[in-house]
Amino acid sequence: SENEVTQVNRCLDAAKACNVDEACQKLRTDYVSQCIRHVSRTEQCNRSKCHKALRKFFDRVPAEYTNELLFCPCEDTACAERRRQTIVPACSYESKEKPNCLTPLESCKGNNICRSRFAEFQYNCQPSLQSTTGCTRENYAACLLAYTGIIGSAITPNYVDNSSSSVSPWCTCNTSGNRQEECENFLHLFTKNICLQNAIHAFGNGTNLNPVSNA
Amino acid sequence: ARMKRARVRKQPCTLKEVEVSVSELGLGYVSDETVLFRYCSGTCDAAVRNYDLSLQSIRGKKKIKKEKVRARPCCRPTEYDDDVSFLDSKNHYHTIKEVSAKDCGCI
Repeated sequence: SENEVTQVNRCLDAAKACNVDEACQKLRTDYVSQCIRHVSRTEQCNRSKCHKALRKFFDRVPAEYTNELLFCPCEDTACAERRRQTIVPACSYESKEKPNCLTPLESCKGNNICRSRFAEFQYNCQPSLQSTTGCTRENYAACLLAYTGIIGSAITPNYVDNSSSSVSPWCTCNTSGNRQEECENFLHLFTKNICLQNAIHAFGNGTNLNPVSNA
Repeated sequence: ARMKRARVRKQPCTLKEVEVSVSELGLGYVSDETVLFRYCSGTCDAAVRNYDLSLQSIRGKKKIKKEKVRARPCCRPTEYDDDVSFLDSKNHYHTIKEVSAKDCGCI
């Protein structure tokens, strides 16, 4: 029947919900406009202005809209690509070279806003193998809020592709030399964080209190 | 009786809104995103000015013949809404200007 063909795209629904809300629509348009504006032949966009507009969006728009845009669950690549595109990654996330993760981390520590937002992220998304939620703080909402808090900073995270819900900042731990462990400790806060993974998953299926069972 | 009912249905010029997909705007963009489209609708009977009455009279006396003139106020946007951004079906973002009304007036 027709219903079986129609695919649910919660990320598209999230865009609709934002567009029909005056404040969400305005602040979304603000960051999109900043992030797609070409500045010169050599520079694709003004990243710092794009980041600033993204921070404003996630700071001022209620989580009921921002979480749906950013953590909408997907079953196909069309949905997951839209989710990946939420933060306009061509401007806010990607760059030609992938730096070593310690470079963005150092630059984050040198910035007051980023330093405190990162501390909140470490605190609220701290993984725990003892806890049933996977989180030391047992609070998914706080972890998701802390995650959105670092978007628009030097360590801006995003989905790594359009086929999974893995997230990472734009960096690697290759060529870390004697700081390999320090680098991986940072990177794994995103790529191997059971608390963050559970929080995103739980948001998607509406079971904000029950963690994913690792069967 | 029929006239009366018709007149009741005529609302004065106001801002209305409808949810449409970006594709339905007909601007050439292909996107399933839904946006709020605001438009001006209604009559301007109460806003007839001496200008309109005079123009009608003078036109009636054939003193103005070939030119296209409008002797009635028109319900149109006096201000346009803020820009609207959306992601199209090829995953490119766009921002469009002056696509939706913010305020209406009989002008």
